[in-house]
Amino acid sequence: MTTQIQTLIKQLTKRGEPMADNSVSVQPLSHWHQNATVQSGLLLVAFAFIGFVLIPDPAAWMTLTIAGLAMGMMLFVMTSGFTLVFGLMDVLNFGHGAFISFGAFVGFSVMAMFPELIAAGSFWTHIGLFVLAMMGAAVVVGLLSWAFERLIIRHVYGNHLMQILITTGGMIVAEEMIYVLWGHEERAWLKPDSFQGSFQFGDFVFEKYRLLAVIMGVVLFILLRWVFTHTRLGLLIRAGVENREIVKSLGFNIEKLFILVFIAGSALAGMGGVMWGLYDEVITAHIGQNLMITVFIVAIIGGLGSIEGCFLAALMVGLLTNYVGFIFPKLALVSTLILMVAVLLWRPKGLVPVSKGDS
Amino acid sequence: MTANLQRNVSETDDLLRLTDVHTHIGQYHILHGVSFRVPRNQVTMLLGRNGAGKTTTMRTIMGLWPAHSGQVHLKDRAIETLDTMTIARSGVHYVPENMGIFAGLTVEENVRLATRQNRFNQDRLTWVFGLFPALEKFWHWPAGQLSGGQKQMLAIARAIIEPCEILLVDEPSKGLAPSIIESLIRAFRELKDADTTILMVEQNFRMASTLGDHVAIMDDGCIVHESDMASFVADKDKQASLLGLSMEAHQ
Amino acid sequence: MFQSIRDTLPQSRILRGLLAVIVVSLLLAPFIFDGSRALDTAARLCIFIVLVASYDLLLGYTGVVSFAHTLFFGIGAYSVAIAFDHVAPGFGVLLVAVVVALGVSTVVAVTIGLVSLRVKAIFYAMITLAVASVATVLVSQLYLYTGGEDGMTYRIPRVLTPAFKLLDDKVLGVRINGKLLNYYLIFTVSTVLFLLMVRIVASPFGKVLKALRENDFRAEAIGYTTVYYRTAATVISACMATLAGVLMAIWLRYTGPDSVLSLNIMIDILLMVVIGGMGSLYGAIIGATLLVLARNYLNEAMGVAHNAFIDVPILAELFNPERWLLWLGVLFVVMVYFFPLGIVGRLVRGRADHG
Repeated sequence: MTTQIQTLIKQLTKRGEPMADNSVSVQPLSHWHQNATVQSGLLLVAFAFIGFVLIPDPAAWMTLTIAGLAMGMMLFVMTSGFTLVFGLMDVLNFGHGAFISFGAFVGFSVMAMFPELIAAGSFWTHIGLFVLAMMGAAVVVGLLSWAFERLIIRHVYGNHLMQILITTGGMIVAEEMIYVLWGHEERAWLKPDSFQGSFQFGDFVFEKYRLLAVIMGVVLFILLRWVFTHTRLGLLIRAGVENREIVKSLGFNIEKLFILVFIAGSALAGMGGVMWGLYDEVITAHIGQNLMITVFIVAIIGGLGSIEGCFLAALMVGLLTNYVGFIFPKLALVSTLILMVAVLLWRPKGLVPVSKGDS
Repeated sequence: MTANLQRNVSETDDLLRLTDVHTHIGQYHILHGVSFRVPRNQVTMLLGRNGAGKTTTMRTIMGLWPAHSGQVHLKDRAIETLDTMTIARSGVHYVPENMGIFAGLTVEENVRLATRQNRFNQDRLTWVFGLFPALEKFWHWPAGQLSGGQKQMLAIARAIIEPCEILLVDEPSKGLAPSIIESLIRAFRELKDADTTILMVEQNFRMASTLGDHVAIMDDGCIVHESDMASFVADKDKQASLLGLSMEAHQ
Repeated sequence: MFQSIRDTLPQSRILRGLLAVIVVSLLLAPFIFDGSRALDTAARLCIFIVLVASYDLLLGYTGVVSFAHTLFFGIGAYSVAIAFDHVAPGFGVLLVAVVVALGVSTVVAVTIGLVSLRVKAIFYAMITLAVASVATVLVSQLYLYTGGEDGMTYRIPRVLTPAFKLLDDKVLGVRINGKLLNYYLIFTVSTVLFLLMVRIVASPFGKVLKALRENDFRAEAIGYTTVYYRTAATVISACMATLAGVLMAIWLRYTGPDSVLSLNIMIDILLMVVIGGMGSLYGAIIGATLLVLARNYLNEAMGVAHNAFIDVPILAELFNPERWLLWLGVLFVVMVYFFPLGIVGRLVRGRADHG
């Protein structure tokens, strides 16, 4: 009896280690609850549930949850590039925040070019403009980041101290350049009419722009996931994050791959800047610098280099900020810091750690 | 005339040739003038005690450490100044010491990454599955969940899924159970029958002597002996003096 | 002690000359320069030299980038401010405030050190940045005690104010009053703190830190525990910054987020350390002086250029006197890239190359 139970326990707890004589199974044995992504996903749901318990009013809870998801999606868009650049090349880019600011200002200028369309356009014209602004931001920031990589980052591979210092310097210069190009004052950036306001569904009130941000974020996430799982480029990036030396020995140009990821990641930051700017309805050269702190926290919580981890951590931080902000308005940022410390004590490499080199 | 002919033959016969290669890692001088040849369509064994510089030699050929001086010729082309990517594309395929499996990718993705067009040639794949049946069984598993021997098989499969000029294999038997080593030997023998040129670092003398046609022995960053395997196996004194205890321990 | 300090002086003669000029100017500042603004600049310079040198203790001697240095500066300043404002402006209160501030800083420094040492060293920069920004938020939220965004203005002991007259007559055209006493208090304490740091760096402890910076793996193999030495260096550096904050609070008679906590001050410190020279405390003197001079005089030069290019749209904006940080940022990047050891490193090495 006892031996039976022991065998049972062994079967239940053993990690799916395939044996050579195992003739039946073709699918991974690993139990779903041992998967870091699944665990973190459950944690996220638990977060939403705790919020539901602590916040007495379901309608308020719904509003906060949507706001949290919207913020989380925007954070994801901004953080994904940072975390990938680190995962792939061990490059810590403190100038990432400047790309967010630049994106916001470029998007602002793109939208400002079509005042009649904003004033008179329908919902779909506004969506078109929004996408156009994001594209403009992506292109300009992408070009900028290409120059940044060539001029600055290329020379400090493998030296974290130099990277942090030189990219911080780059951030200072980039922020000052925003002042030079767009002036010193903060800019009000009102949402187009059709993005303003909200609609009601029973007791629940949904703010339009927040829903839009959630949808945009989901679309971008699905697109990224698709690239990662279904294209050779994505395969290469995932492999490169694990072990770039082997990727080189398989005959791939890892430098080219890195520049590509750096540009794409920065372009995403720029797009995130547009989304955020329109959300806040005011932009300054400092928004990137201020957001950088949250970006770091999200990247660390998720596990540097992990795109799934980044997504889950961004949503977690988004929800937490909104729930805590509702209950104890003063402690929102403090709570994310506490979350980070707690996660690091539980898992020093973040929620979804990337396996590095050693298999 | 005869001499000329002979040289031609020997040149075309050597697929890879190292001449007086020196490699530094940081402040340390590791390889002190390594010279040996890898004959075409043969299995060359690189033997020597731990720390002799075998892995450094492999990495230098692969361009992962830059050669400080000396030449590495692949056929008649000098490759010592090329980068790893170009060397790999010239047909040098590498199975590194720690296998270099991408643990987060599936077995299929690991192998697919090594194909040129991101597509499998069915005949080739069937052949590889024939060599390593376990891979077919665990084709869609995350590679990190494979056992040590299966990871080694995956690493080799990845290196041979596309035809190559030469296969560099760094200590495939390391840390594996004897029965798994036997199945690796069977697979390598089949590769050898298909006229694959192989340069292999090995500590297991049984594996080395069964598979090898040609042998080079390293010590302290130099080649101290080079000959065909048969004559080396016959010369017990030489084995004792060059490999010492390590050989007996493995026998 | 003095011999060992003299041994640490840089070999370059130009550098020694520069240092001498700066120190003598600071010593005689009230008598050489006119006006209260010049005196204010001199006092800030003294304080910043201590602050920057204490940061260099961390960055230059342990190779760790921290963005939380202003946090310790702020702890010092706010302790004094709160004590003077909520209790009374006196020297006894000041002493208690300093002790409390040093205690708090030590606890915070050890905590940050332990949490970030558990993870990879590169997290340190990111985690300290997060901690510093949380501290800024806390200060603005707890306005009942800290005065929030507006900061707090308070009285300081009367002997340190202009109202206190030591002599009735002017000496060399300068009023001998509490303000002057205050300046010399700042100058003396700063000098002592700076020399103390120089002494620490020259001690066996400092040599271990250097060994850890060069090769922590090897140093650890010899038997030095990295965690212990790094944490100790963090604590010393934090305490020095705290004391600099105390001086700042006494001098300004005002403490607010912008004067001691903001990220801009952190960036100033980074600029000063890197431009002056990492890993040489004397670089702090050069870097801080250069930045203060640049802030005062680069403005004017740029004003001239701005007016010259007034009709060229972007060029004029590039030389707008408010954009001086742009040019310092460019200088910073160029320095990190070409002269990672800063001006001091350049001068010392330049000499070594020729000699």
